[in-house]
Amino acid sequence: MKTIGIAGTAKNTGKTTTASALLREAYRRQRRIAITSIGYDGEEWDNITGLPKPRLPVQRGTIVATARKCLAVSSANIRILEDTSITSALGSIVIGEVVDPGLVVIAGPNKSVEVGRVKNALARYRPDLLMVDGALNRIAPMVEVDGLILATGAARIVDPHRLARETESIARIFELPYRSPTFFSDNGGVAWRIGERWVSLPFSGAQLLTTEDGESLAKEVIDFLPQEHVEGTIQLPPLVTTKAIRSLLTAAGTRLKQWSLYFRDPISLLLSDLPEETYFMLEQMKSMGLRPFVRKNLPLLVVTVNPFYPEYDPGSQTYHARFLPSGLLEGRIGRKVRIPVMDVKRKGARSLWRKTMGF
Amino acid sequence: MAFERRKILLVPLDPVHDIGLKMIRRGLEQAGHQTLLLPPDLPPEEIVSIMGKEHPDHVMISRTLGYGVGEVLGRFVDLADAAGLRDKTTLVVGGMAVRPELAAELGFDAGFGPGTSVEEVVAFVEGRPYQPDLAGAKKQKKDITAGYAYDFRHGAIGNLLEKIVTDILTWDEGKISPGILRSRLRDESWDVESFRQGKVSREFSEAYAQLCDPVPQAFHRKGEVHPKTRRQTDQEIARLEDYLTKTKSRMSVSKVQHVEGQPKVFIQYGTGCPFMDIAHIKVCEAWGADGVVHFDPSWGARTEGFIGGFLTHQEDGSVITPENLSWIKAALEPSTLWQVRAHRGLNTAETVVLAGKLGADLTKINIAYGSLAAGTDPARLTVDGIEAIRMAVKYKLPFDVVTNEELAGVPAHKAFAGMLIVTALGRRLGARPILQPLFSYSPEVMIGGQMIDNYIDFNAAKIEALRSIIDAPLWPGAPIGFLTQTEDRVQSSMTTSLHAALAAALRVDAISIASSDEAYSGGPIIAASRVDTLQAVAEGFRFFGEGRIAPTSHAQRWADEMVDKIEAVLKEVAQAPSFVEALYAGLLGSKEEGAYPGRGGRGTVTEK
Repeated sequence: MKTIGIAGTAKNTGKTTTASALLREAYRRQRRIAITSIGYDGEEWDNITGLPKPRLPVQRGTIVATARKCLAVSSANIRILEDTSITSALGSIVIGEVVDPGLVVIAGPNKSVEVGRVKNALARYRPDLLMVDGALNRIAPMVEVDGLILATGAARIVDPHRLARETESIARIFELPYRSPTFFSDNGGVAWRIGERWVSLPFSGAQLLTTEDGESLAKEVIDFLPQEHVEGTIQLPPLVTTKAIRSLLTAAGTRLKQWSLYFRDPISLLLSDLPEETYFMLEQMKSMGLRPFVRKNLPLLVVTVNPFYPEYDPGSQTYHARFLPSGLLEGRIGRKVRIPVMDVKRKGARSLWRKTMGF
Repeated sequence: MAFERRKILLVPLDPVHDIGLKMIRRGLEQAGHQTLLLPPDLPPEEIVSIMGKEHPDHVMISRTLGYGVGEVLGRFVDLADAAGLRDKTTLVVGGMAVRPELAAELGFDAGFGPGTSVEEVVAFVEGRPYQPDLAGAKKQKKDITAGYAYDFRHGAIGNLLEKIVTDILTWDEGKISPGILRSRLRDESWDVESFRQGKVSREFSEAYAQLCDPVPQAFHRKGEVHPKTRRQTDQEIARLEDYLTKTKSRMSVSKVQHVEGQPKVFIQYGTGCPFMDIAHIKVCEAWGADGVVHFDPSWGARTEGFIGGFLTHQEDGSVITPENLSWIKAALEPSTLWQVRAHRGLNTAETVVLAGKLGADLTKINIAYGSLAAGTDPARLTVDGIEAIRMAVKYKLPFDVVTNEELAGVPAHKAFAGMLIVTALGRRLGARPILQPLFSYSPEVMIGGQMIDNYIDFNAAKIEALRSIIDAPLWPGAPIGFLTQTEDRVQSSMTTSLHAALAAALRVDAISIASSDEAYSGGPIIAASRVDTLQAVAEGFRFFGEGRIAPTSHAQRWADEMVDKIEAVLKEVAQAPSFVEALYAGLLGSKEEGAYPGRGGRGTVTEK
């Protein structure tokens, strides 16, 4: 079973359109599909802007993991196979099989560990592909997927130039090299070599979030390090911010030359700040002689772009649908990144499938 | 079970709005929990950092929603998840426009929207199901007439009314009409249980048809409906059943009143389509209406006899048929008072019988108004009105005595004299009448200038005058504020609210309110406009509470004048050859004042 996640950078960036296209092509190729989502998505009306949104059309045999309350509002007839006992704001998450085709409202688990549990539960039904639909800009639980599709577009940033710059930063973060560390469990720590011996200090907390956190880590490292330069490595906590890393580098950067710094994965890096700030921080690290790695690899497969954006009209106090010129975003972003960039509505489901499932 | 003290981090993400969280904080601390209220507007990573240090059981975020806010909230949840704090801590979001679906979408474990009580949040924190204060929220039907003895407080007027009533009943002896015959036939031979089972008695149909005009005759003999109407289709009925099933499954009623004793609030329905009526009723029940009033079309009042069938038509007023009334009844919440008007036409007595058999709580009867401003012959409506009152006694239906002839131009004291005569008649026959003075900008005050300064004094004078005459319930209408409303929905809601607040301050028992687009809709009114005025009335009740409105000295002077004038009118009526002659003579409203004795049913009253 391959697990593909569809994450959006903002509301209305085309997550559901991308998911629907992937589904269509999977059905055409007669693949067995499982679907879940991070939290709630696929509702008929956007909860915030009040503009209409599509729900997912599913065919017979599809396996879904969704909240119990969503079964009643789905037009597809779904037979419940099991209750995962994972609770959500919309009732417990159940696994069901589509008996009669129709539209389905998916509201899956919203925590990383729960997505992992649902993924394992769905694997027992032997689907070829598990699709995890993102909700809003929720991305943390995407650590559980094998590959990611990023949906972005004018609803995130209307200026194509700025959007291209941001998307490039995201793509670069996903290109960070992978290396398996050896010293610590998940919370991380600091290790350095004195002769043939490695000294290691594990972190107590799981965060490196504030400027003070960064300064305090720098102080601890400097206090323990011998005066001469040594080889070392820092396995960072699961969640860090650029702010904290910068203060660490400012206070201790010169002592950490040639050190390896391990981030948990590209997802946690994306959460550390705005993508451009994070990318800039990584470049700064490299220029200071540090070597950033990720401990878990997660490939970014495709970027899908949506020219649509809702424009607020203060007069009527409503949002109106607006679109950037066709092809503009594909061109601008495509020139900046190495992975495929496509407008699914223009290029179609087959193209999306080829570029996504080729791994 | 051992008490488990919880630690709750309260996070106002709004720059300023943290009052809700402060209230929740107080509730949680009173329940013995530990709280930590953060300063407003912290960035998400700082909140997560504090979570990492404080290890709370729950984090409650307060934020008003807007475009872009969802992303901030989603990012906060992501940070908590990535920091490994998501498993140990429950995340809750609350604020304007927050619903459970949105909370789920943003990745929170729960969402609390506007109207959430502190108790509900405490129950959530303690992991127990929330038991709303049922005693407070539960609505029960109230008998508006309870506690009134119907004693005359004004001796002279009481004596006059007693004499007039005696004269009316003497005059009525031995008189009969087709309306009375139909009401007795409906009373004795129409079995409501058989009707509900779909059984049609040919015997009843034929006997009934003989007492009807051609249109009802065609229905009862050949099944033809009124040419202006059509039957609801099977598809429409299926949709209605579906709508009712779904709506009732999630239905809850609310209260408009803020303090005990504020008036019960009635809305009026009569879109012509029973399905739309039902939808309006459900909206109004949900937004706090205590009662609903059935409006029938004017042609129904001018036709001898009722037709049947589940009928709709594109005119004001919903046709009275057993089927239409049964569907409306089936749609009502148990707490809703239901009034079916019988007051003005050729089917007055039979309407009371139908209403009684089909489970109505109230009806409406006024001989003077029906004769002078609604087109029915005074003699006919007098005999039918007496029969209707007797049927109201039999079916235990209190009735209001409306005074809409004021809207035609009849001065209040004359309209009130007519209302008091019918009330005294009801009192004599053992009924429970309710006085219904208008709270309106009537032609009388437009000309007389009593409302140049304010809308308070003259309305207060009316209540004061009536209270000084008889100990009877009061239900201003209909609707309150009539002719003060404009096409502006805000203005219309505001004036309704202020009139409701005045009614509450005057301690009346009930009011009827309009929708905010009712007077100027030029067609069907919309459900949202119902909510406008119900909300506005609730706010009016909330604002004034037990507070009072002080009329100027004009009010008492006008009340005294009104009582004197009522007495003078009643003296003239008592001296007239009969009550019917008094109606013809204009004693209770003359042609110059806009009152015209009706002609409907003229010549149909016969001696037994």
